[in-house]
Amino acid sequence: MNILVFSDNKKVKNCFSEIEAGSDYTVEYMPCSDLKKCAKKAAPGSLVYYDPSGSTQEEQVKIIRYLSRLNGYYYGILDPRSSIEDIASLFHNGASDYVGMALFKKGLSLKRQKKLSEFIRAGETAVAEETASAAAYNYRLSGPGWDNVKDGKEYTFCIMFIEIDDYSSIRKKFGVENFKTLTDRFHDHLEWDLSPCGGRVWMWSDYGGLVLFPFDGRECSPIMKCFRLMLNRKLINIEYFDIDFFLSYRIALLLGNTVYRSRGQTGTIVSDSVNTIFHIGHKFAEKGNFYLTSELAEYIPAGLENYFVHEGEFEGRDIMRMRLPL
Amino acid sequence: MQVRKSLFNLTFKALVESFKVESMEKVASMLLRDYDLHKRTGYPGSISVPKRDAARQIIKDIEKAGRFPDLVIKLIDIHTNGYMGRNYTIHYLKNILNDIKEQGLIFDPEYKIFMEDPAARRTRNWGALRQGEEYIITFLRLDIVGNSQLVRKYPPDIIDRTYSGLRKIVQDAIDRRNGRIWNWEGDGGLVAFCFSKKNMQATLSAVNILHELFIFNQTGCELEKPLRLRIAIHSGPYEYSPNEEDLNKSETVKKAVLIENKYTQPNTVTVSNMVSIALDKLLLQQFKPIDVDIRTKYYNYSLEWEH
Repeated sequence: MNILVFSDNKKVKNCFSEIEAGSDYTVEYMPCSDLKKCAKKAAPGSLVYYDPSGSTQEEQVKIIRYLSRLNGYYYGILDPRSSIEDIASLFHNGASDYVGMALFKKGLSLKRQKKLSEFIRAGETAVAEETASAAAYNYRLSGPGWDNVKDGKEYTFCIMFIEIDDYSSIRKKFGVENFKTLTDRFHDHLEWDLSPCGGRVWMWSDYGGLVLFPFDGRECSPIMKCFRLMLNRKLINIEYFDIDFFLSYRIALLLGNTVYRSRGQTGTIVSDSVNTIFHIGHKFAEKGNFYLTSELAEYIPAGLENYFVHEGEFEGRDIMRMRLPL
Repeated sequence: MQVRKSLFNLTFKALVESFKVESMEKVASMLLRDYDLHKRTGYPGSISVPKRDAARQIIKDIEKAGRFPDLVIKLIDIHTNGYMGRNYTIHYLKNILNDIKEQGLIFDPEYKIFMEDPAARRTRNWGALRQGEEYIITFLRLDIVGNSQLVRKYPPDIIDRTYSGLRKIVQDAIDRRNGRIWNWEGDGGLVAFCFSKKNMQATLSAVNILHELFIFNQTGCELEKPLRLRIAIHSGPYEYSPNEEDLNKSETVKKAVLIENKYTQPNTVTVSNMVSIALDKLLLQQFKPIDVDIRTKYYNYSLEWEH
């Protein structure tokens, strides 16, 4: 197992000397300031130890939150001054190990480390069980891109609903031709903006439709894309739509399964998820807002959680709404 | 601009097929003072200069004087507006412009100037501004609030990563809108915008920077407290110089710095009255007026959220 130790304590190497001497582990030492830069570059399955004693309370919270969200890595806390009051909360946040003052001074033994490996493996079993429950949820991961997505097969996608608000009154005001020019621009902007993170405009009427994003179960970049579509909606209006009023649109995101068929060949698709996202978009969503279903909440980028509020329940799903920039 | 053989030949054909010799000479005289075609070609005054010799000589002389881009601009003008009450169709004009575009230059119809195609390259002067000539430039001045304290408080690697993150945000925002960073120091920088819709482009860049800074602070910033910026935008005359030191002598730059220092709260953007009058109504509506004196108003933008 690869162990990464992020600590500014000069005596930290003593703590790991026995483990380093054994052949089952490789140990690397780095300053705490390199944690964010280096932790993700480590081999998947690595154990990352963080010593928060030189950090402020706020930094500690940030870094522990960061570590708890690192997919495919395990983390432990080194606490050479035994200053952490609520040790259990570390484990609630996904930590795999805790080394207090006494143990830090004594040093970690190989025997203990092997037990820790067993503990981690047991945790993996639990995760596997969770994955099994996800399988029971019927997720069929489509992977990070479109390479493995085949026509006619069912996958789990992040499905985005987006539609121009009050389109019928805009069409009346603008005239059919001008409205078409506007909606073409809207469509083209979405394609240009969303395609770098894998978005494909999939079902489209004149004034809105669905965009599909592949989903690999690890991260969900469409959330950030939609967040920016709302944050920058006035800039987008001015720069891309060239009209003298603000074009309002509403967005909903859902994680769900559907058979994939290429655009234009979707007429025969029967999908509960597709129905649901349309229902959310048409019956639940308010003008100018962005919603996501609760299964996506865990993929909201760390630091932006407070910008989503619970908005209610719809067709058995909890719905979150993004707080709007004014 | 390099006048390669293909471009020379296209321009040669354009002159030969679009003008009589007298008109050609008049075009040359507009660019080269006291131009005497007979003298230049060696034909005696009593003999008219053959069209092909005239065209070849004029292009050579204009190229030698470094005025070839001006010749093409003149041809565009004559093609569009005519000359001395007469309409002209300049043949091969599209081909000439395409040939120039292949060299990474495009024509800006508003400024009547060749500038870099941003998709091809980006240099400090857009490949167009000439040293010593005065242009109307829109400056975006940004300042990191409390830079000295931050540098004292945090280790250099954290500061480096944080400021690199900010620099990337600024670069992305201005690249999309054809801005150029003219100065970047520890505590902030100065970005210049020229050509079409420069006030709009600068203001949109500034608002975009503020929005991206918000995301950076929420999701990726390593500082204990959010990184804060003050951004000001002002437009005015500037005698172009490639030297950064000359920026500080410019009254327009000084005014931009003053607006940033005196009239801009952290994490907000202030635009001067000169800039505000050129803004799209929808964009200006996002700004709140600040009374500077009885006659002058600045406008300020900040990102606010519903509670």
